[in-house]
Amino acid sequence: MLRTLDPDQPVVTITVDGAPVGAFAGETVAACLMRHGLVPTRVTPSGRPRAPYCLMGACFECTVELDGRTHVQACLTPVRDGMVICRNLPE
Amino acid sequence: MPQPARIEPAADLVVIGAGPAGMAAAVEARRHGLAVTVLDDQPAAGGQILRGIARRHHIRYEPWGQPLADAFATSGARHVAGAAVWARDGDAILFGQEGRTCRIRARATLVATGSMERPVVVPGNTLPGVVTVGALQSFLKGSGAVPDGPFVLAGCGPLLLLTALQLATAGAPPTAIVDTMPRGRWRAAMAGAAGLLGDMPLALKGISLIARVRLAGIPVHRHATELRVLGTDRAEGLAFRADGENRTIAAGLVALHDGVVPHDQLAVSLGCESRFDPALGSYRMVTDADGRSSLPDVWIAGDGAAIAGGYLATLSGSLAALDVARSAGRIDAAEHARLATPLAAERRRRLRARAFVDALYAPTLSAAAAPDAALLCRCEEVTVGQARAAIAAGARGTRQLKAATRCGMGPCQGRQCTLSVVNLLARELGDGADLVRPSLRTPGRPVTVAELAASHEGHGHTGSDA
Ligand code: FES
Repeated sequence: MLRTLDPDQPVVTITVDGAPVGAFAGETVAACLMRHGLVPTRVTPSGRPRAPYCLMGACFECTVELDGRTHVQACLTPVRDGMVICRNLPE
Repeated sequence: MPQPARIEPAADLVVIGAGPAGMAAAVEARRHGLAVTVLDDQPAAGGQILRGIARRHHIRYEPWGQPLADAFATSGARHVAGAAVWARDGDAILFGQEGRTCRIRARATLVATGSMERPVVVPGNTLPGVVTVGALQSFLKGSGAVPDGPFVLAGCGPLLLLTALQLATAGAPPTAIVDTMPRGRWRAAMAGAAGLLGDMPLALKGISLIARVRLAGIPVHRHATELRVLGTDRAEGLAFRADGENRTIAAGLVALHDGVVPHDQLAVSLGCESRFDPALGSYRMVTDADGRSSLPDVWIAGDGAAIAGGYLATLSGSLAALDVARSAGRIDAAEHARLATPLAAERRRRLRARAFVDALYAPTLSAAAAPDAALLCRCEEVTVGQARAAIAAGARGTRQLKAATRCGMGPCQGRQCTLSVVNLLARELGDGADLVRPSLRTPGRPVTVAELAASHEGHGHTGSDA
């Protein structure tokens, strides 16, 4: 869905749903997930897929579990090496 | 056991939001010796318009942006990034940072939370791959990322044109622009055209933007209606009507936009008064010319109070800071007048251009005109049809609609649906609609029970808090 303009940025590794994912040190978790096509980020009670929408903290569609904290807004969080992320997807 | 709240050193002025208004206010307040802490929920200072100004960038910022960012960085104001403010408790501000509850005493509080995009209600607007145009700005400026593959920008507003150009310049031109401005808007807006003389730089910027989009060769479909995002699990394209024909454009990303409105949920949840402005289809916060809100010791500046754009936000931020400095006794009335008068005069003059801009870019994709199947409340999954049915069954105001449909009761706390609901009520009921804003209870954003519990006990800094 997205590509980077800065491919020479330092790369770190985060874990998404148990799998390692390469991330650029300067990007947000939401940008990283979308760059890798890792959507949806959550599924609604009625089963509809959702993904980051506003990227400024106003819609809460991007919430994930991050290092054990629930409902963290991925669009407000810069990636950090070793972060562990779980999307809110049904089993 | 919850972790106790971290107590931050008290401040003369706590600014909430590190965009143009907040940065300008912090710089001005520091000039007069006030201790200033700026709390901002974004990863870096700049707000939306100056997002990413401190990182390697791929766009040209407004000419006033870099000087402001530099002045802020060296002002001596304390900047707390990633700080999500959720309440005011007496003279203390409560906020969360990485799950930790923090508390700071504020002699004065300035809310400078900026704008957000007006909710767009079209069928398919919740599919993954549908984003706001502002989201594309955020990817580009904050993360150095651009759409990969075909994408379209749809809707109306200067930000849409600006984003199309910035992306084209960065090597990622949109497949097409689907412009929803109805025929006759330019003629209708002309009534306010004389006001443009008050802000010639703005008028010239607008004209050059339109000309440059033409030059860039981006296909534009004008006067488009009946927008519908295609796809089942992901966005696959956009369908619409233009020039009397049904058209579709295949795209993996569909970016929607219909202008901006104050991002005012925090001010409202603190208890500040706001008023509905039918011409804008949105609320504006009640303030005086210095930004004083309806609450003692709380000021509101910039687009978070009423939309006027980034540069005017810097003026209103400075004016609010000068008023805070005067009330704190740091400057006397004469000094205040000397510093504030020219800023206030410039602000008044440039505000005269708003009538034209607001008329030209009045909402085009609001829930009032949407088909029943479109989703109005993203969080609680309420359709426009369900809201219309509730109105037909007797709901007259926002509170009754909320009770009947649950819309506005999810985690976004009405950010994405309140204006849709209000405009739908106004359209369906005319003068019979009750447009009083639903009250927003503290906390101003979702918090966990542990965070809430922590706010009642604290340790850390003592000093002036002891
Ligand atoms: S994408 Fe809207 S809150 Fe994160």
